[in-house]
Formats: sequence, structure tokens, C-alpha cells
Amino acid sequence: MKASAFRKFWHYFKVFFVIKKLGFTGRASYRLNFLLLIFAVSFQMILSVIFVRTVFSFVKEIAGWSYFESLLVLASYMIVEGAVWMLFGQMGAIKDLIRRGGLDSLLIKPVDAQLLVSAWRGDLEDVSRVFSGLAVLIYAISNLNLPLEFILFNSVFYFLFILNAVAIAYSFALFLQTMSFWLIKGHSLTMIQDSILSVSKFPTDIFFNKIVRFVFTFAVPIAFISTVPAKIFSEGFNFIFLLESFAVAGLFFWLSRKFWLFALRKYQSVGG
Amino acid sequence: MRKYFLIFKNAIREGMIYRIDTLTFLFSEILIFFSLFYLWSSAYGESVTIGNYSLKEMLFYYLAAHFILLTAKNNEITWMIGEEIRMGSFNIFLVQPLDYSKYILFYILGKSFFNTLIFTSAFCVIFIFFGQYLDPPNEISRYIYFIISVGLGFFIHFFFNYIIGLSTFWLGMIQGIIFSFWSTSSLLEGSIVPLDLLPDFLQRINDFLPFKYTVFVPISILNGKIDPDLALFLIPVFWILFLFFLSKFIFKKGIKRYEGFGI
Repeated sequence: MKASAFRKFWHYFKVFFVIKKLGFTGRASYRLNFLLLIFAVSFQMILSVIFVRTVFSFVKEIAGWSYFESLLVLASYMIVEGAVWMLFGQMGAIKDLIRRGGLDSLLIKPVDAQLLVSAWRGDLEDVSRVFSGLAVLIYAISNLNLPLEFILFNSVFYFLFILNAVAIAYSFALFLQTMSFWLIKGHSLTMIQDSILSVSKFPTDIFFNKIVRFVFTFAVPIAFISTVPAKIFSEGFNFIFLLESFAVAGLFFWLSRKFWLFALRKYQSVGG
Repeated sequence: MRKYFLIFKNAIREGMIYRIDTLTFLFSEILIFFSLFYLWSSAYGESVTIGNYSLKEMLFYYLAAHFILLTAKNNEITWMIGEEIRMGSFNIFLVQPLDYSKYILFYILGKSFFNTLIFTSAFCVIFIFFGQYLDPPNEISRYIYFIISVGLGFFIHFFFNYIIGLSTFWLGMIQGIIFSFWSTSSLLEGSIVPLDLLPDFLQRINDFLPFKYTVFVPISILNGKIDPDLALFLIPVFWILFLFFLSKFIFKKGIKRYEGFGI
């Protein structure tokens, strides 16, 4: 039983990898365009740093967060957002496949349709978001004067938090993009997704209204995307946060999966 | 002229068909403003001013910037032109008695008109709820200068977007150049932070570029940070004329290069 589950997982991993490889090759085929995209994505990240720098050139802290601590939040956001764009293209393939009737051909393939739509689009240039995020993270950590053993110990848990954050962002993207089954165009869904995710650029402690903070922690759990991972370096490891992070990621993945399957049952096809 | 007016009307109709998209677009912009509202409120804390902005002025700045971006920033035409040239649907404009630049202009005017109607009502609602946190000017004349200034900014955006769209004749794929332009212009126009909060060297570079006339200058006229003298309207007019002639030149060159995919 265990061996068969592992074989299935390995098979899915290989399918995901092959689709990604084809997608990345296609993405890089227009070289100048690809280089400009890398520039644009990196510059966008620099703009976020400029924004934070500008704000902190006038104030010493915001909601208890110093400049370098806020950079930890921003870096976590960059890494998570970059990973979701690079690996899953923010699930933007769903709306295109539905509109153009391409989803039908995926549904008849002997692989889970969710895996196929997840792998269908991936923007290789967004790897520069991840690298920019890592650079900002290292810069922030090195300026916080933390002991080396503290950094090494917490880096392992930071990685786990980031994995959960990617799972949350992925589930959120899947949930929103699945609404394309009921919308004609669905382009604005990506905008909503980007806007909500972009709120996680800032520490959720800025939401001084308790209800708003609760919403952004559990209902739309952006706190677990960047603020909670950043806290591991600003406040140290917290086991409760780790448990909550796994629970929220698991719950959101399960809910988005259920919603995707529900939408598939209602799907009437365009031209297939 | 009647045919272009028809394009204008069709663009409005298109906006009405995809009204859910328009509303979700609005929702996403309000959400960004909402997060900025909390961020700046926390940043101010006990401080009275940041730069030469009070909290109310800062929030009003961002609200006005969002309004301009939603109504006058016509970014979508770059995608539209790029796709038409790349996929070959541009061919139809070579045989029809239509001026392509006018077609695009009237299309985007229709879109902007529709967006202005929707978003003005939405922003009025925001004023009702957030009015106490904002500091709108009382003088009617400032609103009139603001509208004129935004109108000029609309044409600067239009010609930039149009020229970038036409670059598909040479580049094939223009996503890279579009995103590079958007990122750069969002900093230089003042939609990320008010330009007078940026370092001096960036402000000096910006004085030689037209971007500040699209967002920062209109808002600064509105909130009374700068007085509406003639130069603030003549310089953008000069830029519009320059970009207009440049776009004509690029279109002429591009047509010669066009391979007519799909003919």
C-alpha cells in the first residue's frame, strides 16, 4: 500500500517536472523578452524595498517592527509570491483553459486534473523574485546582529514556515481561480489575488483593528505567509505558531481541493 | 468620425458586459488602499507629519492616485496591440478605412469613460465611510485643474502604451518591455510614494521625464502642494506632441517590417 502511494507520488512528481520543463523552455524562447521580464520582476521587488526604505526614513518603527524586521516580512512575501508564480503561475492557467476550451483535453488524461492545471503555467522569470527575496532576507538578518547558532537553528524552521506559506498561497490561488468556472473573463481574479497577497508585504500588526487582524490571520491567513515566518528571526521559534501554520495550510489545501472538485462537477465545457 | 464614436460606444458596452470584472477590479484596488490606510496610520503613530504630508493628506494622496490609475492609466492597450500584431488580427486594419491609432484611442476613451462613471461613484462611497480620515480640498477650481491635468496625463500614458504595443513589430513578444515600463513608470509617476519623499537625485532625474505629469502633478495641484501655473500644463502638451510624432514614425517603420502572420 505504502509502496503504491509512493509510486503514485513519484509518477505525479515526474509529470509535474516534465510539464514545468516544457513550460520553462517555451518561456525562455523569446530571449530578449525573457531578459526584460527578469529585469522587470527584479525591479518590482526593488520598488517594494524602496517603498519600505522611504517610509522608514521618516519613522523608526511601525507597529513595533523596525526597518530590518520589516524587511524580513517583505523578504518572506517575495520568496512565497515568487515560488507560487514560478511553480504554478498563480493558477492563472485555469481561466485561460476554461475560456479557450482547453480544459476538456486535460480532464480526459489519466492524471489528476488539479495537478495538470497547477503545472500548466509557470513563469520562470519569477525565480528572480525568490532570489531577490533571499537577498533581502540575508541583508536583513545580517543587520539584526543575531548569534550564528540562533540563525542556523531557526533557518530550518523558517524553511518549514515558508513551505506552509507556499501551500497557503497556492490553495488561495486555486480557490479564487476556480471561480473562473462561473465568470466569463476572470482576469480580475488574478488582480484580487495579487492585492490580497500584497497585503502580506506588511506585518499584520499594522491592522490595529482586532477584527481586521483576525480576518487576515485566520479567514484570509496572510499572516502565515510572511509575518509569522518573519517572527521566527525577530522573536525566535514558537512551537504554537508552527502547529498553527501546519493546521492552516492543511485546512486551506483541503478546502480548495474540495471547491475545485465541486466546480469540476458543475463544469459544462465550452467546445469540447 | 461616426465610426470612431461607434468604437467608443462599443467599448462602454464591453465594460457593461464584463461588469463583474470591473467590480472585482475595483474591490482589489480598494483592498490595496485599505492596507495602505492601516500601514500609514501605524507609521504616523504619534508623528504629525511625514515629509510635508499630514496623515490625512497622505491618505488623500493615495486615494487620488488610485482614482487616476483606475480611470486614466489605459495599460490594457499595450496587450491588445501586442496580441493583434503577434496573432495576425492586425491584418484587418490594413484593409479597412480605419486609422489604427484613432481606433485604439477611441476604444480606450470608451473604457476610461465607463471606468470614470463606475469608479467616481465608488470613490464617493469611500468618501462617505473614510471622509474623516481624508483631507479633500474645498476650492472647486482645484478640481477643474486636476481634471485637465489628469486628461493630459491620460494622453501621455496613451502614447507610451501605444508605442510599446507597436514595438511588437520588432520584438514579437513584449511582456518583458511592458512590465519593465510599468515598474519604472509606477515609481517615477508617484503612485508608489509621493515624489517629494524620494531622494533628491531621483526627483532631479524625474524633472526631465514626463511621468510625474500623470499622477504626482495632478494630485499636487489638487491638494494645493503646488500652484497650477501654465508651465504645468504646457510641458505635458509638449510631451504629448513629441510622443504623437514619435508614434507616427514608429508605426510607419513597423508597417514596413510587419510580416502579416495569417494572411
